[in-house]
Amino acid sequence: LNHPVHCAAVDAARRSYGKLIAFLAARTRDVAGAEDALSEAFAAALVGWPLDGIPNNPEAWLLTVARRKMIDAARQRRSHDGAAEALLLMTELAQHEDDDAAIPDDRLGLMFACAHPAIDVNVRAPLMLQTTLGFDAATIASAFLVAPATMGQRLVRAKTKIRQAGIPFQVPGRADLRQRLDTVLEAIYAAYAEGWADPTGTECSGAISPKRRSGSAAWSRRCCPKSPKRSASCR
Amino acid sequence: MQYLLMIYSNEAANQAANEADKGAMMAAYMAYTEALKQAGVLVASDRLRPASAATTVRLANGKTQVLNGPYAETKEQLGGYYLIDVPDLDVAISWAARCPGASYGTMEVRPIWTPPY
Repeated sequence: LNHPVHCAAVDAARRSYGKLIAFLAARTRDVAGAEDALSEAFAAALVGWPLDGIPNNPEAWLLTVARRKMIDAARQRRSHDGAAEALLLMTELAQHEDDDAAIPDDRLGLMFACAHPAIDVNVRAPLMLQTTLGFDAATIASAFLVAPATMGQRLVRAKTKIRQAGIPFQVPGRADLRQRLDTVLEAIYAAYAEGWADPTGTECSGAISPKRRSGSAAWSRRCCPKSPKRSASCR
Repeated sequence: MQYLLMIYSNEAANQAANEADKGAMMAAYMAYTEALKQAGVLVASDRLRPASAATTVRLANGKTQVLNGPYAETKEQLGGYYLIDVPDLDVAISWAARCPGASYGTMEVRPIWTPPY
């Protein structure tokens, strides 16, 4: 497991997972599809990198592969939505193929989608943990003391809702921002609080460490407009 | 995306309102409809006759059963709808909030299912 390829893949996953999911999902509203495409891209990396070497920009490499997987999936659906999605992704792919360095960071938009008032309040924090940090349903379930199957179902339902109801991946306008920011902060709170369920830190194998969660709090603090409550709750 | 904005309100209370209040409500709806048209998002819109004018129909054992009244007896009834075409749920919600129906009843926002079904 200490092989450099594994290290590079793990490092890319840790740094870029949420960013890549946000980028892919924001353009299609298909969170589940983005997750599938990205995990296929990681699988391809573990096969390809030992042979071809680790790319200069692993994040951009993963995004390109994941985007192609999503285009393939959209084509296979042969639906109106699927065709529109495939075209949109292909256009973007053509535009950005040579422009690896600049992958826009849509994670804040993703968090606002996860904590949208139209999403069931109990699944907002779990959904954030899964989409921005890449935890699987079983790990999240154990942190929230819910049966894994139940948590899996809730997450699937929430992702379907995002897609079907047309929940946008964006920071809301000024008029709604304060109210909507509160729901995001509540979800971050809930996610963060779960980290202290194991105060002695004895179960570090599968548990969600506060350090990883605080990562999401830290960049939401960076991205958000000034709000007194925010600085108090994200500390 | 297309969304159906359904207006649910208490019919009895609406009918009991005085003429001035009814007039003000009509004016508010006309202004709202005009705003939707101006924004170029209105697809269709109708006001429904009261639930007492409703007829429920279903087929049971090959026989048509016709019943007087709405499908469900509820405190608030579906009184009308707006079908709008907007980019996402947040825009649909902001239009629903501006509808006069939001201030004296409840708006339900439902996305239209586009093919494939």
